[in-house]
Amino acid sequence: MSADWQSYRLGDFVPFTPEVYFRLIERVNEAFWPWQLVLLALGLGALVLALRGNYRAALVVLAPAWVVSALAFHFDYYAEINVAASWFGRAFIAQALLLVVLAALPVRRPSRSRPGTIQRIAGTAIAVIGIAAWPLISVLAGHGWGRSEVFGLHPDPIAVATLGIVLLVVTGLRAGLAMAIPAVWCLMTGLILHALDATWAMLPMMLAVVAGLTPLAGRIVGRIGK
Amino acid sequence: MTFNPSRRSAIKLLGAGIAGAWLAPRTLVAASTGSLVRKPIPGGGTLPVIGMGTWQTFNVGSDPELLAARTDVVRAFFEHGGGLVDSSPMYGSAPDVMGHALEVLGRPDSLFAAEKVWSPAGGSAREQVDELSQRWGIERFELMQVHNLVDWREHLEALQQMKAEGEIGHVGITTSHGRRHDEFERVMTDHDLDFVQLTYNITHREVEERLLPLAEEKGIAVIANRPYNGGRLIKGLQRRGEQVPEWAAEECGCANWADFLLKFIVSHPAMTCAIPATTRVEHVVENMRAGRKPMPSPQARRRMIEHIESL
Repeated sequence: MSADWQSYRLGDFVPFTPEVYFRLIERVNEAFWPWQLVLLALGLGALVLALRGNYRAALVVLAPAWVVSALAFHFDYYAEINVAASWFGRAFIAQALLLVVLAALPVRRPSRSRPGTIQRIAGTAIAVIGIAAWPLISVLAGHGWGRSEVFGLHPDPIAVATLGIVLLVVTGLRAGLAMAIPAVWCLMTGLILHALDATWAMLPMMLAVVAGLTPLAGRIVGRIGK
Repeated sequence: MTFNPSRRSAIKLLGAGIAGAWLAPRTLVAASTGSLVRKPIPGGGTLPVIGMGTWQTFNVGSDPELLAARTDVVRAFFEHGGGLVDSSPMYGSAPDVMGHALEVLGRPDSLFAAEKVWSPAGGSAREQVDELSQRWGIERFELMQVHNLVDWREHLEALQQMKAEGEIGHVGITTSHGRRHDEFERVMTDHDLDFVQLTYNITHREVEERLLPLAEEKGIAVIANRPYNGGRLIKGLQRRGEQVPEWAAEECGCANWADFLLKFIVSHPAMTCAIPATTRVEHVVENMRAGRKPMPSPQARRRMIEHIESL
């Protein structure tokens, strides 16, 4: 049986071709234009709120973007070519609910829950990549604007942006909870993109790893500073 | 320059157009299938040695652009004498896409519809066959296979029953990537099968040792999946700029790597057909051309293996 598993390759788990997947991205864009602009504004709004330290509002503003991506991308389109898409959609809805719950929970010791400098720098960079830079990837890869992935509509940019914004506003167990689904998605989408020969496949995986390690790095730097 | 057709000339043009459209595909079929090799199958009849797979390539959902493109692929396949089309409920929307193509084109007489039952899709074998019939828009499958031996005892029994009742034409089992060959062999030995589907190509020839001789001995038809090893084999040769050797062109009419790789597979005496999958009409035409004579002799087959191993 172990020999059986060794015979599997990543591509054996991806039931569609690159052409089909990137056409799907394009079709979602065509169907929802010009709502991408509204969703981008929502993402930028979440980032500004996070930078101002308004963590509750930042998390609450992220939630509808996860719901829109679940409904518009996973349930409406992706489910046609991937039987797992309905489960992805459920996970995205769960993430939206989790963000709202985390925003509603009281903070007992605000001074201890404030992210450090390293976390703020990494969080800002990752959020900017997810919200502002992600649509450019398609253009740089030669696929044009039509296949650009946009925050709030396509799953990859919202997962990346959420990692950044969570780093900016939450610490400890709450940060771990808020980053779990986005990080798993980034790892999974990276593997799928790798199977599809996308040149940027490593990017979401690297950003998830950086986001996961940043609190640890911040703690180490903090101890050295003391 | 202006063009003002009279009513009569317009009718003539229309008539010529209709006649052209009616004749063109048939002329094409006649021209391209003259020497397409066919092999016998259990229960009588023959199949063209080149079929078509649908894994990944036909899972396009409801995308109108890609549905039209796959319909063109199916059209080209049948215009060039194709017969067997293989799909599975595991292939996402592929059965629906075949249904769309057949709705547009009509059901060709030569269609040999092959599907699979696959436990994770849910429902009994009979329910799955019924659902797949609706998705393809056809009343009967010529071949129904147990996908990757999943729950094969239960499914095989149900499929044999359906065959006995005339609801399906033939029964088979499948595997791929060289998996579970020992169990596959036991099922072939102990059960009454019409078809087996397995991975066979010039770089994956493990089945030559036991499974192909057993199929030959028991009169089981054999379908080769992954003839290009998931595309990597032919793309690798093309990317490296390797040229088809001259002797292969002279001895067995190999004009390109598709000819070389497919002719190698279907010239094995136990092999009934290979099922390359593609998204492009020009590749369908290439694939179908590989099913024509001349085919490589046993000596030429050995030389083909040596050549690939030397690269």
